[in-house]
Amino acid sequence: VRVWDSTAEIRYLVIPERPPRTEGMSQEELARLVTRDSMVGAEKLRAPAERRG
Amino acid sequence: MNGVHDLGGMDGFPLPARDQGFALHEEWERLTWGMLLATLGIPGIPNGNRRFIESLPPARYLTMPYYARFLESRLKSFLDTGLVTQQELDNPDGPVTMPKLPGFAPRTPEEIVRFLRQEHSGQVNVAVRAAFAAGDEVVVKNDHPAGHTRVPRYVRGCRGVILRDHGVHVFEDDVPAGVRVGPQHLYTVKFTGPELWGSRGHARDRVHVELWEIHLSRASSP
Repeated sequence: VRVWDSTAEIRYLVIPERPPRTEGMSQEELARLVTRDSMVGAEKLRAPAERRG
Repeated sequence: MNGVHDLGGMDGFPLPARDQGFALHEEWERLTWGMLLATLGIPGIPNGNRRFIESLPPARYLTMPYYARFLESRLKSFLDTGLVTQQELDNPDGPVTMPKLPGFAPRTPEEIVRFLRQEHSGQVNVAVRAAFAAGDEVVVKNDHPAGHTRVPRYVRGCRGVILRDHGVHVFEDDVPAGVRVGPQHLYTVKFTGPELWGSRGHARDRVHVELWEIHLSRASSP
């Protein structure tokens, strides 16, 4: 695990890894998969079928 | 300071239930954040609110909503500098007087938007020689300042490696009265899990922390 503790004014943009089985999804559909925790690096995005609700 | 606000490395803090989604659920939080952004950089009004927030009693600090800390610290700053009077706070529907601050003019909504769209960076264009380079081994000084510091407690005294030099940045720690610490090089320092957490640390874990040059000393050869 690599942790980046943002202790100065440097900020990081986390680009979540594209989950499997999302080929052919539109930008809008992909955007709906993105979670807050994936954008701060605290969770890996799951494939659509694995998602709750 | 060594306060309860510095939670890095502490156990037993699950994510609060209300913090599972996106922030700014409530209208007062939106207003507070907007007020904070709209009043940044007003001449004569100190922006630094961390010393005040960190000096809140621990039980209060841990139970108050995140934005309430900003609200309280901003209000204190406004009262201290005379931007707002206690009478105005106590009587929100009463008359409002123009503050007698030299050079003060309320910002228009357009000016606030322009201010927010500007690039705000801690990096400054000053030539300062770097004492360290990527790959250098360093030790974080074991200091416990009474004011605000950007050095997390869990890295003090620990040995790390310079990963990156971010150039010259404004120094963000509080310094004692009369002391001046100018802009200096800011580095990302890489620490291993076992260096920080002892036998609980995983050998392959890495923690990266940004530290200013004054926080670091050169490690002696092992």
